[in-house]
Order: sequence, then structure tokens, then C-alpha cells
Amino acid sequence: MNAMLLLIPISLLLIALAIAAFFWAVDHSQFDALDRASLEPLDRPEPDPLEPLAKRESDD
Amino acid sequence: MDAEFATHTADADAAIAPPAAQPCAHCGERLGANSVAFSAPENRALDVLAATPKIWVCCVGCRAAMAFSLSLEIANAAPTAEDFSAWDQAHLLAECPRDTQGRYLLCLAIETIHCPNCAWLIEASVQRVAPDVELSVDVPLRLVHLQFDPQRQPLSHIIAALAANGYAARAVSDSRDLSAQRQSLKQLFVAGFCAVQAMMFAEPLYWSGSDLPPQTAQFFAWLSALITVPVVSYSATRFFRGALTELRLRRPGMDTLISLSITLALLGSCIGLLLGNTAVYFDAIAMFVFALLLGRTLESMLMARARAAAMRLRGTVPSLATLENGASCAVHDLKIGDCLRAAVGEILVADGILQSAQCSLSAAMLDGEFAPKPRIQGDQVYAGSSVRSGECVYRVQALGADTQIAQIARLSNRAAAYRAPNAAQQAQMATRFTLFVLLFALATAAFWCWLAPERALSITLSVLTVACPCALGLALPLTRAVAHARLQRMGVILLKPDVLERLNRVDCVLLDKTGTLTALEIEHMRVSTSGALSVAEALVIAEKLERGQSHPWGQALCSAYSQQAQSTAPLAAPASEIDLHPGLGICGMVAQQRWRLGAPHWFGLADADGVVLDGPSGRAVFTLSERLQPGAELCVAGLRAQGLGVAILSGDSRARVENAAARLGITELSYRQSPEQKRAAVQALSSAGRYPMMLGDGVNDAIALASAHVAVSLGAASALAHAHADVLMLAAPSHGNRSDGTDLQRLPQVLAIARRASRIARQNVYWAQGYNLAAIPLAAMGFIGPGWAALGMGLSSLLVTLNAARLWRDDSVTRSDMGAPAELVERAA
Repeated sequence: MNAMLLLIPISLLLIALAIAAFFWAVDHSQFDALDRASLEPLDRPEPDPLEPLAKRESDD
Repeated sequence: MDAEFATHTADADAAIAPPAAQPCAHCGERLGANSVAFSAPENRALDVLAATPKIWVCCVGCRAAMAFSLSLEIANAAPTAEDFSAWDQAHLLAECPRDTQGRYLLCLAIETIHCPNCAWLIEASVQRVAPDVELSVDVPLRLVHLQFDPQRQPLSHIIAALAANGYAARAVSDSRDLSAQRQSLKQLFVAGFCAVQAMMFAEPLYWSGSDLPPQTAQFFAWLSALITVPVVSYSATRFFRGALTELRLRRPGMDTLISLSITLALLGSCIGLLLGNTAVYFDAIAMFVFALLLGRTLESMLMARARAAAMRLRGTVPSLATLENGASCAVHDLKIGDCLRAAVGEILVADGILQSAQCSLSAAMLDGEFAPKPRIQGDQVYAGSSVRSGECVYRVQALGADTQIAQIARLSNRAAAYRAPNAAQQAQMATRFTLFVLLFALATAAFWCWLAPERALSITLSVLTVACPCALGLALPLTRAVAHARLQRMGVILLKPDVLERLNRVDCVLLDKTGTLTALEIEHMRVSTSGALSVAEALVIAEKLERGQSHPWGQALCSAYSQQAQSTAPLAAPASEIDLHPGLGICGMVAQQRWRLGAPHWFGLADADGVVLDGPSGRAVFTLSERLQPGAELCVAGLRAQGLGVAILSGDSRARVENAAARLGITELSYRQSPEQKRAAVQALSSAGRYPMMLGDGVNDAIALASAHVAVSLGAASALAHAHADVLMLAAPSHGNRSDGTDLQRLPQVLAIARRASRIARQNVYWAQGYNLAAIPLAAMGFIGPGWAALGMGLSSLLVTLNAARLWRDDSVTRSDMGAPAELVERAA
């Protein structure tokens, strides 16, 4: 029973955290265009394929 | 609008450089040399703006966009205050298209529309203050189309009347209502999460005969009550608000039932809780709210997709144009007669007359042809076409709502609007049903109070929950809206409201030949002349007569002319006194001579092929070979496979019709048909009890189209054919790298989708009705607990929504038919 008394507040806290996280995500437009997410990469400009390479070389 | 949102270029402010650290107020780009300041307009509604005097934007484009969005914001902000006069501002109306009588057409988004009941209410409330206003309510898309005269009925009165009834209106712009979407997602999530937790906390209470100490049971009951608080106070608010509106208007409906169930369950549970009773229903309440919200959220997502499809036509015309002198200008500031310039790749914003010498335009949105077509000075050009090559300077003839593309968009939006012919009757029925359910619940409660008082609350709750006609309310409008959107995604637009139903009955298809099934090949043109007429002259004269005409032969001759134009001396004056003889040809004056151009039988040459040009100085016969349109064979095969009769109805010569028919495997054909004969053929079929669908283009098909059960007009068809068309097939969304005109293949698909839509609608209605009929008595007899009732009700509307969503899938249509994935295509278009 004592375990219960510990677990229940924890579960309530987790719910509060989950809801807060979800609200944050919604307000930061993570869910605004659900049906287009799969097409998003096609919209982006082509990344320069040499860029990461150059970065790696400079890191070395 | 420009006057109101004037930039500070002339006054002292111009000397002040834009603050370097500040980004553009509209797009967030860095401010540069082109930056302009926004002056605070002297307008009460823009107090916010006045408080921050220096607003900088990076370019005139952003300025125009910002001015536009501000003008809409005024409209948006107004209803919260009690003053609606902001709606009467001239620039809001300046955005609006107008009809032929000069009345404004305005589209309002009202997020609180739920059911035909709302449609009836909106109509009634507006008609009370403004009887002359015409309006149609699109229930599934939550739009209201208004047609009004601001001189007689100020818009503010209409908006005030709507607001008084709880309908907050918003002028529709391209941007979606993000805040409403986010709000409903949050509500759904909170309800879902809390419902799971409430069930977890309620679980120990379900262990019958458990060894749970009473204090522990009490503790869990209180916990489940606690976790239900956010569900009721946050997630369920939309139902309570809806119920309040319904009650205030004395028209109890769906939201009343829902709210009543929730309140009753809550009251009962709270009393139980305080009395130390563990028979509480908090978990059922949370689940009920979650199931309802899930259904509504899915529904509104589906509707948003449908609405996006409906708005796409409108979105194809940019909001910024370039004047001839290079200055840019917002489209709504343009006037008839302005001269505009469009560079290669740009889209024309208005209908007009080409002023520059030559360019090629692709008007895929409008006429279904992807291939660019040459246009020369004096030609008509249309908004929505894009410039492929050459220089395009054009003089504006029609703007905004008067452009062809806007007219098509309007027809299509109106057709998609669900307007039940007996909306008032339906609303009354909904009210009666609600009252019946309430009385029935009361009777059930009374009966069980007498028989077993301890079960009365739970059984009454079950009855109320299970009787909620959510699924029934969704069944038809949802299916219909999805079907319209699905067809629109294929480039097929239904122009009349009842076409979807009519398409189901089609049992035979009549096809026009030239321009529909076949295309003329100008590469293999043969010209034979007699008299003093040379081949080149004949071509010039034919071109003068046919320029601007839409008949396939005319267009072929014009194209042939423009291919050879370099070698010929152009005749300066265009043809005058043009006279059109549908089914025969055209006649007019070219270089002071009367010429006739048309079908051989007009000239008594029954055996000749092609078209004949005849005039004082000689006669010429043009002969073109023709090829089948892409997809023609598949179209005919597809129609056959659906068990439809297929026939050709053509004005062309026997040999040509027989040739095409043989290649397509069509045995029923008629040739040399005059427009009147075509109409008679269609009517003969109709009076024989059949439902003919006619596919045609061109002037000579117009009256036949008008008498067909369903008239399908290809995008390339002439304006006259559009006037009679029920279905408009625009350019098929581009299929990978193919770019060949209209796709006839879609015709069988359209029929398949219409049939599928009606099947799904029927399934939905049967299911929803059957569910309610079966579940209410069971619940009244105490076989269904409140938790199960909540779950069943939610699942029932979910099932209806998902069933309607099946229409989006492509399995009625094979993959090879569709080419690239449809979403990709949408994006590319």
C-alpha cells in the first residue's frame, strides 16, 4: 500500500508532464500539417552533398 | 486599401533608416534597401498597430500581404467586441467577387456549424434581418456563402445577426484556422490521457467482492474524480457551449444530449462520492468525451482536406502582379484596363488581351492542356495560365471573381456545398428526435426508479449516451464532401449540387469525336486549292476567321498558320462580321471579301473530307489526319467494363467516324449530326428510360449536353459547353514526365468513385440508424452499462468517419491509372 502512495503521485506527475510536453509541441506547430509531413523533405532545397564532407575534413 | 496602409515614403519618416536588428514584420527576413515602413492607419480597429508606430517590412510584396492580412484581422477581431462596423469597411468588400447584379459574394468560415440544424438556423437568423440576402450553408466545410448588396444590407448587420445566434464568423482567407485546430488537438489529448488514467484508477472499484478496504476504494474513487476534472472542464467545453446555444435558441440537438449525459453522470457520481458510495462513472465520462472528440477531430481533419481541395482553384492566382512599368502591385488594387507584364514562369493574375507581339502560354488549370499554346497580339489570355516563353504584356479585362478560373471555382464550391433541399424539415426532425430521446430517458428513469431505484441512474445514462445521433448526423454530409474532394484531386470538378447522385444512374455514354476522342495532327495537313487562291493565302484567311474560336479544327488551322507564319506576309486586319453556324462552320469578312469556312456538306460536297474554305477568289480544302487522344482506348474499355453502353455522336464525316470507332471498338455510331440531331439523339435515349451521359466539347455540343442526364465537358471545351456542363474535367494532375493533354481515362474512374460514394453513404446511414434503433431498447432494458454505451457511441461515429475516409484511397483505381502518388501531384500542381 505504501508503494501505491508513492506510485500514484508519480503517475499524476507524469500525466502533467506528458500534457505539458504535448501542449508545448502543439504550440510549436509540430502538429499543424500532419498530412504533409511525408512530403516535407521534398520541399527543402537540395543540401550540398560536399558540405558534411568539408566539415569532417576541417574537423580532422 | 493603398491609401489606408500608405507607406511613409514622402514624409520625414523616410529619412529614418530601418532599425538594423529588426526583421521584416511579415516574413522575418532581414530588412534591406527595399524596406518600407507601414504607417499606422487612422483606424480605431488597428489600435494595436498605432501603439507600435514603426513597423517595417522588407519589400512591397510583404507590404501588400500584410495589408491584406491586417484587413482580415480587423474582420476577425471585430466579433469579440460588440461592434461589427469593421465589417463594413470598403477594403474588405474590395476583396470580394461580385455577381452579375453587382451583389458581393462573400465566403464566411463559421467553425461552430455542426449539422443541418445549424444551416437552417443561420439561414433563418440572417433572413430575419436581411430578407434579400441569398446564402447557402456548406455544413461539412463549415462555410457560408453570402450574396448581398451592402447598400441595402450592411454586412455588419448580417454578422451581428450571426453572432447573436452564437455563430462567430470569419472571412475566409487562404490560411487555415490554426488556433482552432490546435485547440481541438489539445482537448483530444487531454481527454484521451485522462480517460486512460481514470480507467486505471477506477479498476480496483470493478473488482466485485474484493477485499479492498472501504477507505482504499474511496481513495480510488476520489482519484478518478480528480482526473476527470480536466476532461470535463477543459476537453468537454465545446459540447457545453454548443448545448447552451441550442438551448438559447430552443432547438435542442446533439450537443444538448451529450451535455445532459455528461452532467447527469457527473452529478450522480459526485453525490455517490460524497455519500461514500463507490458506484461512480468518472471513467465512463472521460471515455465518452474522448470518443466524441476523436470522432470530431477526425471529421474536421477530413473536412480540412476537402476544404483545401475546394480552395485550391482559388489559390492558383497569385496576389501580386507586375505593372507594365515594372512596379509591383497587389492584385486587388488593379483596375480594368491596367497593363500587366508577366515574365517566363509567372502566372497571369487576370483575364485580358495580349498586347505584346507573341508568347506561349500554358493554361493547364483552365483548359486541361499542358502543352504551351502560342498566343499573338490581340488574343484573349486567362488568369491562371503560366507563361512558357516570350514576353507577355496584357491589358486587364476581368479581375478577381469575373475571371474564368474564379467562375469555375465558384460553381464548384457551390456544388460541393451540402444544402439539403429540406433543411428546415430536417432541423425540425432533429429537434423532435432529441425531445423523443429526452422523454424516453425520463420514462426509463421513472420505470427503473419504481423497479430498481439503485440502477435507475446508470440505465438512464446509458439510454442518453447511446441515443446520441452523432453518427447519423455525420453519415451523409461527410461522405459527400470527401467524394467531391477526391474527384477534385483528380482534376474533375462537379459543377452542380446533385451530380454525384445523378452520376450513379448513368447507364450509357455518348462521346463526341473531334476534340474529345481524337485530336487533329497539324503536322500532316494537306491543302488543295482551286481558283486564284494560293495555299498560303488560304491559310491566312482561315486563320483570320478561326482565331479565338474554340473548335478543334479552328485551333488546328491556327496552329498550322503560326507554324508557317514566318514565310507568309501577315494580313493586318482581323476578320470582321463573324457569324457562327453551329454544326456547319463560320463565315466572315476578310480583306473586304466574304469567306465561308466549314464542313464540306455546307458547300454541297458530301463526299469531301476535312474543312472547306470558300470565297470569291477561290476555294480550298484542308485535310488533316487525326490520332486518338491519349487514354481514349482505356476510357472506352473502362466504361465497357462497367457495363455501360458507349456510342459516338459526331458531326464529322462517315469515314472519319467509322475509322475512329473501329479503332476504339465502338459499334454504335452516328455521323454528320447537326447540333439539333445530337440533342434529339440524347433525348430519344432519355425518353426511352435511359440515363445518358454526354461527353463533349465545342459549340455544336452545347444543346446536346444540356439535355443529357449528366453532361461532362473537357477543360479544353468552349465556354458555352461549360454553361451546360455538370462535370468539368480539367487537366489531369501531371503524370510524372508525361504532359499530354486531358486524360480520358478518368471518365470511368469518376463513375466508379460516384458509385462508391453512394455505396459508402448508404452503408453509413444504415449503420447509424441500425445502431441507434438496436441500442436504445437494449440500453433501456439495462443490458448496456454507461461505459459500454459511451464506447459504442464513439466507435459508431468513428466507424462512419473512417468509412467515408475510404474514398480517399485509390483502390477503385489502379496504380498505373493514377501515376505518381496523388499527394505528390497535388504539391507539384
